[in-house]
Amino acid sequence: MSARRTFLQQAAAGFGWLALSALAADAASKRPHFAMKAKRAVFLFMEGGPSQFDTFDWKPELARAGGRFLAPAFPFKQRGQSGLWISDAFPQLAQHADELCLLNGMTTNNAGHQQAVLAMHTGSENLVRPSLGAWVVYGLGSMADDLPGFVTVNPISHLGGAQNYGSAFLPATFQGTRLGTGQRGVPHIANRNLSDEDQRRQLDFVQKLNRRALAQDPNQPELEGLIQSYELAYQMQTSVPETLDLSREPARIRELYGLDDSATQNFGSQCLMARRLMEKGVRFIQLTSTGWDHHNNIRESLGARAASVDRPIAGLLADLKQKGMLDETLVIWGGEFGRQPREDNPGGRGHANRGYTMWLAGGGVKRGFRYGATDELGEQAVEGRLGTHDLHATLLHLLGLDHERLTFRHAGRDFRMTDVAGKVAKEIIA
Amino acid sequence: MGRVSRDVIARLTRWCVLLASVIGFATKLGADEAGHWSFQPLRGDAPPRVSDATWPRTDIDRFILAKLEEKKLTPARDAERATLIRRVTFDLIGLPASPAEIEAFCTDSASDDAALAKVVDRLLQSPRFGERWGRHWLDVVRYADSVGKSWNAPFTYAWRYRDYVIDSFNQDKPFDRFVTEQLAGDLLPVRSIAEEREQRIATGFLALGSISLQEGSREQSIMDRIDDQIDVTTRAFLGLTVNCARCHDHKLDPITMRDYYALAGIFSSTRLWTGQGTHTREFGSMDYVDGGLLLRLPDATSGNVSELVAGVHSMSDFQDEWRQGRRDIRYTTDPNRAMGASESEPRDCEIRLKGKPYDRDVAPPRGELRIPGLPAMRDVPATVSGRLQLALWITSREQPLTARVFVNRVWAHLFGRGIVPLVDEFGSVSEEPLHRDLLDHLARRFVAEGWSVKKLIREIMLSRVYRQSGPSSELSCHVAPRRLEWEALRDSLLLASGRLAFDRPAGIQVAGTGGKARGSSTYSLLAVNAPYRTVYLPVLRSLLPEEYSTFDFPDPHQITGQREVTTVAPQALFFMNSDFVTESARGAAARLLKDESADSPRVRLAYLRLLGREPDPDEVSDSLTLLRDLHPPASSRSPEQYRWTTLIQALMSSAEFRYVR
Repeated sequence: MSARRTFLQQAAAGFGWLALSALAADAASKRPHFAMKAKRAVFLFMEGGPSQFDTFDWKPELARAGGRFLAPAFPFKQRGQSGLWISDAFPQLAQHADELCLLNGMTTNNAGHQQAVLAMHTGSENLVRPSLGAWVVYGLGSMADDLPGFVTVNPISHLGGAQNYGSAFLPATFQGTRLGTGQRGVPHIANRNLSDEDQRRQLDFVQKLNRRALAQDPNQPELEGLIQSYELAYQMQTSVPETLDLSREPARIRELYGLDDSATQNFGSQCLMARRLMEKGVRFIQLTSTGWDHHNNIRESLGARAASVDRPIAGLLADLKQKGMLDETLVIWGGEFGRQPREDNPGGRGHANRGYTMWLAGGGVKRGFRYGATDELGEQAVEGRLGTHDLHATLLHLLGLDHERLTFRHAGRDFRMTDVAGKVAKEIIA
Repeated sequence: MGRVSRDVIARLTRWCVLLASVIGFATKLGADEAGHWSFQPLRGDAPPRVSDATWPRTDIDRFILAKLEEKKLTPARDAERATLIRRVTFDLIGLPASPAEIEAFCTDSASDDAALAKVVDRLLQSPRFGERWGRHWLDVVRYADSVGKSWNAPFTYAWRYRDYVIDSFNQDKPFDRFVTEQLAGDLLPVRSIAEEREQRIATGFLALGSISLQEGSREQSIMDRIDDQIDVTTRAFLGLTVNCARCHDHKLDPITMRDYYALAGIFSSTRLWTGQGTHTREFGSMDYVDGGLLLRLPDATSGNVSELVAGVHSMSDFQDEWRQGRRDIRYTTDPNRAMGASESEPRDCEIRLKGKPYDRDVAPPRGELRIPGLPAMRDVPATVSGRLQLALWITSREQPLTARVFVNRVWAHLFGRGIVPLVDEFGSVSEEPLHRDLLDHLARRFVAEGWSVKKLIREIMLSRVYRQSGPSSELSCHVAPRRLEWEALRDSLLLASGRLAFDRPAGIQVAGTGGKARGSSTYSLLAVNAPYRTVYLPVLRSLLPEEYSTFDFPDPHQITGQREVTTVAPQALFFMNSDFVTESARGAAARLLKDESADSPRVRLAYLRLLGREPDPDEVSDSLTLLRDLHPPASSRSPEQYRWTTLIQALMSSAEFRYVR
């Protein structure tokens, strides 16, 4: 470590802008545009487009409509002090209703999975653009020195795949690092042949060779980045397994997240990993639950998916709260779009992009609050409409970033996450 | 020009006007009668005069030097021979130069010019050349061995097109011919059965698109396929993005919906043979990999078209086994099947309002392109699709884009950046490059020399500009130090270990069916540690091994003229800890221990083999120190092997191994 510092000081004169910005991001947080409400974010992505009608958008008219309309598959109840309507699909989460800020007026441009997933993550349906996490880490830097600033756990490999956590034209250091559940998490994280001492000797030898190469091409930011990447990689060998080793958690915490039940173990592990990553200073974390594309039999299919995430998410909220971390953590829940009020295949619903629901909790959002609404039968958002760019503008705002000032110059023009649109939903800010 | 300008400008949205004012496009369209620079005819300016007559070797050098002299700058020094041969060898064949080749070049008493020419000519003749440059082309044409998207079924015969591309580069097939074969090889005259087979395989280019096999609407699915063909054709050959005109007139380029649907008519009159059908509810789930939907090639000896050889070609061929739970079913390779295109019933394609497949408007005559500034396309006869006319238009001498785009791609591969930096974008967002005259000179020469790719590469490589060392700039066009691509890295590791095979894997190397049934996922029969060159491993969309994306292999759904280059910790972890690198280091150590017996000569040979240079005395002593300080575990069967493996892995992990300068 000290050798690295000394080297960095010695080499400082030769640093290119890329390495400088990467360093700034790695070593020290950058300054937000204004006081941040949340200093980190966790996005619980429900891939496939969960139905709002059976979860968080109570439509009494829909229950009565009959005909081609499909009534909600689960009973709704008012919950907590706030009286937010939440269905029985999420009994545990419903107990935290007073922490939630429901966004019932979400819209997105396209009802195709791939387009909508990319739009949700990058703001663009078809162009290659940096992802939300990359923009956030570009804007705020990382708070972790032995872990990447943007981590995505078990991401999907289709529907745009790596683009959804890519950095596109932003420097590579801001791209999301994939982690898998399980102790190893990152491919090739452990060395099975060398003792730690021998590996350090080997690495010192490599770094000496690398510094020699850098001396020959002194203005090579990539070589500087490569030298740093070896030190980060070396530390990750320890930090990643340590952070991901959920067995270090007490039994009651593991139970809180549902690690004791095969139905909730997968997403519970992701949620608990997320909390441990947050404690280590990771700025933006995405978790993914797949399989929310319920064209058939919502009662069973959505019921099972909801049951697999309900206790884990409730556990995460409770745990963050008891650790005093919820106020500074922005929790984002939702899919790429929602569902139709009409029946598709028996008992199921087709895609809907003109009105659906997401929710936020924690850092800086109004608690026990409902914003936006769809019309009587839930066919489209009619008030408090939030399009993709509005959502991104609002999320960036909560993290202390002005979406109009968070720009990056590329191919002769200044790009921003929200293109030339996006309006912050001030109404939801506490 | 006037009519269209008004037409186009009238339709610009507010957003577009704003953007256009920023990039000065309004001026280009309105006032500048010559049109956008990339649409203008190739300039034929003679190379400029330069004051330093001793430095230049080629006209390329004179163009660059003149610009440098304007700014009172001088060229950088030439790279040393050892650096140069490593650069040339990686650039031409994607593998390192051997110690013997380095030695021969460094001690060649011929002049630098003559010695370099010998090396370049030798490598251009190597069959490895096509494996390297063919792969560059495969990036541009979204090559993959599976269809991708949600169903992701295997393309059982994509590899025939891949091999065709590699062979074409090795034969130095004229580029205009190469373009024409890919678009319309089935429509060209043939002199032999072999030629007919080859030209038909070339049309696999059109069939490789990623589309959803589970598209609910038939018309949507048809239009998506057409869109993919328009996209790959216009971007790969012309550097134009045309497919935004599917839904509205192009906001920036003078391309209208009419133009788009005039192109769509060509492809709606074309039938694709992918070996896959669209999954439909009526047919159930056993129908979408279908050997009956493959292109039939004339038999290499008899010339006849034959039935499929007995075996497994379609999902229905193994329905029973599948139901019984067997999942390791392999497809049978038929010698006379391929992916590709053929003529279908010729019909123009109606404009679809806002791109909606069922909102039809008039159908413009297919092939009737009216792109201001570009030559008009020949009329398409009523009886044909128009693919051949399109190919002739793309490769005509009046069409300036094709040659410009391709020479720029070649330049970018050799220098790390294009003369036009965005290699896939020659539309109005592309600014006129600083070295426009050089670009046009190269494009003219390329056409004049019969579209010979090898001559083009040779001319660039023998220039003085290519020999320079040091950091690159837009002005000086040095070769920038570049990180090797995943293929070159993996192949170099295999080569060092002594495991690299140079033959091609035979026949179909993909299995599985894709789709959503349990265990049906498409998979590759060649693991990442298979001994073949990387270009021969199947490229499965969304299913590539982790290492591919770690080292920026392009997403095979996309057309990618220039790859990303990232430097992230997972790359370091790959070198430090992966079985692939460890095994490679072990193999290389075993070779070393066999080939040399004393420590210092071993260190020297290790540096030569892996880094292409002699170690300096400090490095020899550092290496010997590392060897001495290591602590092989008591369980180690060969402490010596452990020590040397560790040293070699360190050399493989170094920046020098990973970069070419």
